[in-house]
Amino acid sequence: MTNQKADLLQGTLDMLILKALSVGPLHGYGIIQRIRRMSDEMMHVEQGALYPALYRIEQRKWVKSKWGHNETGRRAKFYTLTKAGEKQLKEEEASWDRFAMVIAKMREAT
Amino acid sequence: MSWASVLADRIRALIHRDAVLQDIDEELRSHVEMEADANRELGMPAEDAFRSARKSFGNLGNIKDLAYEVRGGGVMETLWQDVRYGIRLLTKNRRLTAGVVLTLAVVIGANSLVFSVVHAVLMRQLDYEQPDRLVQLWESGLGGGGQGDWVSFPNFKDWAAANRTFEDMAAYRFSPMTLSGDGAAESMLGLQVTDRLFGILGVQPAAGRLFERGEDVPGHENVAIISHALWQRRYAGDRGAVGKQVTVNGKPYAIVGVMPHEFGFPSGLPGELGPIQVDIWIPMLQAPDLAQRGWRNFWVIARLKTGSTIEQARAEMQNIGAKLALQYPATNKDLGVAVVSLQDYVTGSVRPALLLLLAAVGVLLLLACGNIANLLLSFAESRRREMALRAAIGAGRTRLIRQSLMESALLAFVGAGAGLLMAFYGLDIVVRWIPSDIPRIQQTSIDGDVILFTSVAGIAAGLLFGLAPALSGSHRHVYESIKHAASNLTAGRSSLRLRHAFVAGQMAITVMLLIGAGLLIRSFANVMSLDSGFEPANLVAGIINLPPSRYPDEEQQVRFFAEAIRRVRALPGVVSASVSNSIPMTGINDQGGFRVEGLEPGPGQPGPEANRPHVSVDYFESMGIRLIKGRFFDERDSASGAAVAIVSDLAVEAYWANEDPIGKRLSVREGDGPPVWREIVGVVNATRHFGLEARQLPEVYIPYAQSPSAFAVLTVRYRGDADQVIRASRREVGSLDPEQAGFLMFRMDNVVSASQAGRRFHTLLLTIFAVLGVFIASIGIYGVTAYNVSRRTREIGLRLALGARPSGVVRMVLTSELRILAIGIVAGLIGAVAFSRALTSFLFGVAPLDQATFALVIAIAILVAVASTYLPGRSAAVIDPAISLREE
Repeated sequence: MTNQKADLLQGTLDMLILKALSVGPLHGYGIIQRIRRMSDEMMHVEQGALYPALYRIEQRKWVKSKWGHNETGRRAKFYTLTKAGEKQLKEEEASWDRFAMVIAKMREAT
Repeated sequence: MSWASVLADRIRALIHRDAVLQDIDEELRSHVEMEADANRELGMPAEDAFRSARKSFGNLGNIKDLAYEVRGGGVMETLWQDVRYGIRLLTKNRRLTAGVVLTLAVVIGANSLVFSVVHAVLMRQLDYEQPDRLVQLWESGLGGGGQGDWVSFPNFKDWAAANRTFEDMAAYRFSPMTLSGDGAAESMLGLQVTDRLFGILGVQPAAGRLFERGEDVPGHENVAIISHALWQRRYAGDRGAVGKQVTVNGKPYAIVGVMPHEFGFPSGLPGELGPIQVDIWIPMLQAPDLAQRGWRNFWVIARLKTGSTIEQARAEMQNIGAKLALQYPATNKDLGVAVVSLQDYVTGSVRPALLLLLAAVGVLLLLACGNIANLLLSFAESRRREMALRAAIGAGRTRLIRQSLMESALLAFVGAGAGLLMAFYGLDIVVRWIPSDIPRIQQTSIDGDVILFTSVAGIAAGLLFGLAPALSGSHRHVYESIKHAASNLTAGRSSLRLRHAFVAGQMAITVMLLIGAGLLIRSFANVMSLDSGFEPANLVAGIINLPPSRYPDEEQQVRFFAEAIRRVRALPGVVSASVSNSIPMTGINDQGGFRVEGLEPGPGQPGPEANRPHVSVDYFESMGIRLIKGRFFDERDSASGAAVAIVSDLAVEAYWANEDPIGKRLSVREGDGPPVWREIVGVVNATRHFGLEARQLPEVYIPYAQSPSAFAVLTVRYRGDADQVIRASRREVGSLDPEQAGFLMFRMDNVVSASQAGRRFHTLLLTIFAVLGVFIASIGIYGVTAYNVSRRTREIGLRLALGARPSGVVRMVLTSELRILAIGIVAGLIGAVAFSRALTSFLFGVAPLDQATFALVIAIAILVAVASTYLPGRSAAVIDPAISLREE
C-alpha cells in the first residue's frame, strides 16, 4: 500500500467516523454498526482499522471520550464529536463535494 | 498545535504506560462483549455468541499493538527502554563502567578547568562599553620592537588633533600617590588622566560624578575619583565620602566620584608586583615635562569611530607618525604609531600559553577516548552472541546501533557530570596555584559557558568512543558468530584494523605530547638558570614619591633620603640600605640616551641608549651586584665631587669593547645644553631590568647625590623576617614624614619568582598532561595488545602444539604488534616536526627540532612500546596448547 492510498483511505475513514458521530455519541462497536447502516451495508469497517483511527482522531481533539454505560448496562467508552470535529467534518464534506463535482465534470467531457 | 498535544499525550503515555494498555484492553473487551450481546439477541447460543464475536475481531494482540502505537510512548518509549537497558548493563559490568567513568571524569574535568580559565581570561569582554572598539596606542619602532614605547604628551596631543578615525583619545600616566588629610597616610597607585578618559570608557560612577570636559586644565584640576575598594576600606562605603577634602601627594583635592565594584582601569594588567590595582584617578598634573616631546611617560587609549576599522586607524596613524617624524626629527625620527586592540593588549601576553594548554588537554581527551573506544570494542566483541541473538529475534541494525550508542551516551553523561564536579572543586586549588599575574584570573568560575563546554565535550567524547563499538558490534558478520566455531579467527577483521589504528594513533599523539613537554622543560630550565644580576633573597624595596610641594628643591630631597637611609640602616637586622631611581626586574627604570666621549653617532643614526639608574652609595652592596673592575660609589662622589659614573659589563662590550673603560667619559644630560662629562670609575655585573626573558640594555649608573630626584626606591638588605623589616622601615620613614609612612614595599625574591611564575605554571601543567598522556596511552596500548594476543590463543596453541618454540611465539607476537607501534612513533615524529615550529614563541634557548629532546622522546616511546608488548607476549608463550585448542 503506497502512502498516498493509505492517506486517502485514512482520511475517508476519519470522515466516516466523524459523520457517524455527528448524529450522536457512540462507542466503538456502535460506530461500526452506524456506518454500516448509513452506507446501506456497503461499508464494513474492521475493528483493526477503526480503533487506531479513532485514537488518532481523539489525539487531534476532534472527538472526546468518556466511559459510560450502554442500554443494557454494559460499561463502554463513548465518543462525542467536539466543536473542532464538527468544523473538520464540514470541511471534509465540502472538499469531497468539490472532488465529486470535478469527477462528474470530467466524466461528462468527451 | 496538534503535534504539541500529540507529544503531550506520548509523554503522558510514558508515565502511565500500564494505565494506557489497560484502557485499550478494557475498551476492546467491552467491544467484544457488546458484539456477543448482539449475537445472543439474534438467537445465537451463549458460547457461540462470544466465540463468534471474538473471532470477528481477528488478531486481538495485533490490534492492541496497532492501537498502542497511536497512543503509546512511541520513539521516546523505545529510547527509555534503551536507557534502562543501558543502565542495567553498566551496573552489571562495574569494573568497566568505573574505569571509563573515572577516566572521563579526570580528563573532562581537566578540560573544563582549562576552558574556564581560558574563558575568564581570554573570552570575556572587558567591562567597558563596547570594549571591542577600544584600542591602545604606542610609539613604535624606537628600540622597543613589537609592542611599542610609551608616548610623549606633545605627540599625544598631535595625534588627537590630527586623526579622523577615532571618536576620542585620552592619555594617562601611572603615579604612586599618598592619600592623607583625613586619616592615616595611605600609599597607593594612582593614575593621572586627561579629561576624556572616562568618556571613552563609557562607564558610570557608583557615586558622585566623573570628570567633566576641561577639568584637566590648571585651576580646575583638584578633583579626584576613587576606586570602590578604596571607598570601602577607607570610608566604609559612606556616601559622604563624595565631596570630602583630602590631600593627595601633599596637595588639596576633593573627591567627586566613586567607581563601581567591577570597574578597573587599566584593567587586568599584569604588574610585576601582582595585578595592577589603581585606586585613585586625578586629572593630568601640569608639569614642565608635559611639553617635552622626548619624555615618554604616557599611555594612550582611544575609541574607534563607528564604521572605522582598526586597520584604517593603523594606516592613518602611520601617516600622522611619519609627518611628525619629519616635523620633529630630533625626537620623532623613525617613529611610527602602533595601534593595538585593548582586549588583545590585556590578554595578549598570556593568550599563547593558555591556548597551548587548551590544546594539550584536548589531546588528552582524544587519548582517553581512544582508550575507552578500545575498551568498548573489546567489550562489544565479548557480547557478540548476545547481539546476534537480539538480531535474530528481530532487532533491526538501527536499533542495535542505537542501543550501543545509548550505553556510550550514558557513560559520557555520567563521566562529564563527574568531570564537572571535579572541575568545580578543583577550581579552588587551581586558582590558588595559578600565577596571579594572569589578568582576570580571579574571575574564573564554573559558569553557564563552562557547563555548556563540558556538555559539548561529553557529547563529543561519547560519539568519539561510542561510534566504533556501536558500528562494529552490530555488523552483519555478527550473525555468523553464533554458528561458526571458527569465530575467533574470522570475526572482527575490521575491528582489528580499527584497534591497530587506535594504537598507532595513541603512540603518535604520545610522542607529540612528550616532545612538546620536553622542549618546554628545557626552555624553562634555561630561563631558571638566567642570572638576574643581583641577589633577590633577603632584599626588600619600597617606592617613595616625595610631593614636590613640600620638597621643591633637590637639597631637601637629598636630605630626606639620606636621613631615611641612616635610620633604616640603624634598624636591627638591616645589613645595608640605599636609594635609587630604578630597580631591576620591575620595569621601574630611567631609560634614555647618553653620549660616549669620542663616539658621536653619525647623522641619522640613533645615539646610544641605556638604563641610567641614579643610585646612592651603598646601592651595589645592598643589591648584591658584583664589582668587576674599579670601584663602587663612595662619599667622594657627592654633589660637590667630580662627576663620575659606573657602567655595566654589557655597556663595556657595546661601547668600549677593546679598551679599558676606567677613566673614559660619558654624559647622560639630555636635551639642549652642554654635556656633563662623567668619568667612569667602575664596571659592574649587568642586571635585568625588564624581566628574565626580556632584552637587556646597557646600564650607566650615576651617584644619586649628583642627580637627585623626589622619586626613589629604597632598597634594604636584611637578615631575619621580611615583614618585620618592612614594618620597621615604614615606621622610620614615617617618623621623618608622616605622609610617607604607608609607602609601597615588597620583597624582591617575590618579584623574581613572580616573573618566572607564568612559565613555571604552563611548563608544569604541560608536563603533568604529558605524563598523564603517556600513562593513558600505555594502559591503552597494553590493553589492546593483551586483547589481540588473547584473540590469537588458538593460533598460538596450534603453533606450540606443532612444535614452535615459546621464544619464537613471543617474537612473532612482538613483531606484529611492534610494527604497528613503530608506525605510530614515526607518525608522531612527523607530527612533532610540524607542530614544534608553532611552539617557537614559547621556547627559550632551544631550537624547535632540538636533537636531544627528540632522541630522548624516541627512547621513551620505544621503551613504552616494548614494555606494553612484552608482557602479553610472555603470557602468550606459556599458553598450554591443549587448553587453547579446546577453547571455543
